[in-house]
Amino acid sequence: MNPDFGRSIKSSIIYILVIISISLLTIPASITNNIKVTIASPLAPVQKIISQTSDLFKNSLKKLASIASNTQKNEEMEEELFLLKNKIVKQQDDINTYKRKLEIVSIFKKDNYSDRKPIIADIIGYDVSNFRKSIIIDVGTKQGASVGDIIVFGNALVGRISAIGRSSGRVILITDPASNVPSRFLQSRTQGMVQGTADGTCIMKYVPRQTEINESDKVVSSGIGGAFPRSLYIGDVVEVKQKNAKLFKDIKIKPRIAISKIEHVLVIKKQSVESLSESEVNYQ
Amino acid sequence: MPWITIISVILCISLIQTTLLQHISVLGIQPDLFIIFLVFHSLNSKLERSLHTNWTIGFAKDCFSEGLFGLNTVLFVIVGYMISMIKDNIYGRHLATQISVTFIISIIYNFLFLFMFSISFTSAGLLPMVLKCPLIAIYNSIIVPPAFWLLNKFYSSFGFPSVRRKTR
Repeated sequence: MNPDFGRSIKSSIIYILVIISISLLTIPASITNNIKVTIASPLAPVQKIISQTSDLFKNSLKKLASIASNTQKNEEMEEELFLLKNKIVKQQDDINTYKRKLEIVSIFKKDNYSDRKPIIADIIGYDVSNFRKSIIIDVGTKQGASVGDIIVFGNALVGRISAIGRSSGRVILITDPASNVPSRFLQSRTQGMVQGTADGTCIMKYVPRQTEINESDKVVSSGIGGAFPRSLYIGDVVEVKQKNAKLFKDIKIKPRIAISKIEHVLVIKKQSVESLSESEVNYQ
Repeated sequence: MPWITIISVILCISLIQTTLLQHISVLGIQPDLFIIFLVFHSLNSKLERSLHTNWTIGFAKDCFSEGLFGLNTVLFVIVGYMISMIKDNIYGRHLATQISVTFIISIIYNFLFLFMFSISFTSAGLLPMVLKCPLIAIYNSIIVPPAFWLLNKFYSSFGFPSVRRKTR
């Protein structure tokens, strides 16, 4: 083959690739998210195995460290344990009574809200970019999840599903700079918008300067807009700044959930969120 | 054969970056193996092959990252082209050069990324992200010696043409 011809083909491939890249930027996010998830999905099982193995290794190391530090406390704890065991026997009877009641409630819930059960998901991957905060979970459309479903951990807000595949999904965290959660302070009820900063913290925007905010005030989701349910714990205020010329306060928030410390999350389906909002409206 | 090697490395990097590197993050910063591989490949390959590879690396990064699809692809082609332009004037086999190039390219890439990001989203936390850029570049530079050593070993064992030619 003519070397000039081969070189021109290679050059034209580069131009075509660059044109493809630029045109990808103009495609709507709904389509590109599907492309991303479709390409990344085959790696999800491998990601799951690697993350589970690394978590196991990490936990074993933690256990080893704790064994070394706990040897001195063991004797004291044994004495405490003896007393606590006596109490446990007494409380066991009460627990059994409550268990029977709980079973009845569970059966009732199962009958009435069978399609609205939350899904437990494992975190199998993290975002590769230092400036974006998202996670990959092992739950997809196969398990009944969909785009817009809310992700929580122990009633604290983690994020929202932004793209979904058959057996994996991408969750945009509340710490992502592109994430905006309508929220309010638990005590003062003042509303604002929680936005991520990509360094593991969030900021609360649009809080008027005259509002009195103290450190350690709690922030919850307000439910305005309908994307997130109300009253989910977001985080605590760690820093409040007021610059002279500014109309709004600069409020730094430490999220309730440190994503690096958890391995599982709970997916709340969008239908449940909508029905929850509707029932609240009816109630009011 | 070279393409199989390149795609295998990209897949390995994607898996490591999405699963393991979170555990070694410092101040929320993790090393960017995609950038390190881009620098390694651009320093060791011809311009055309380097550009094709850079496009593939950027595309892989886009697939595993939130945000504008295609942004990393374009930026990787641009920064890869910059390395290919200067590589004839520098001694790319020396560790000091590799570290310096990785540091500079990391800074340029991150600034370009943030510039594009600030156009797409109005983020009040842009300044902290800008201040993170040098830290990311330093972390990437620290990872360069073991990463380049591993990549060299891997490429040599698979008989990658450009690396083999230079080591003769």
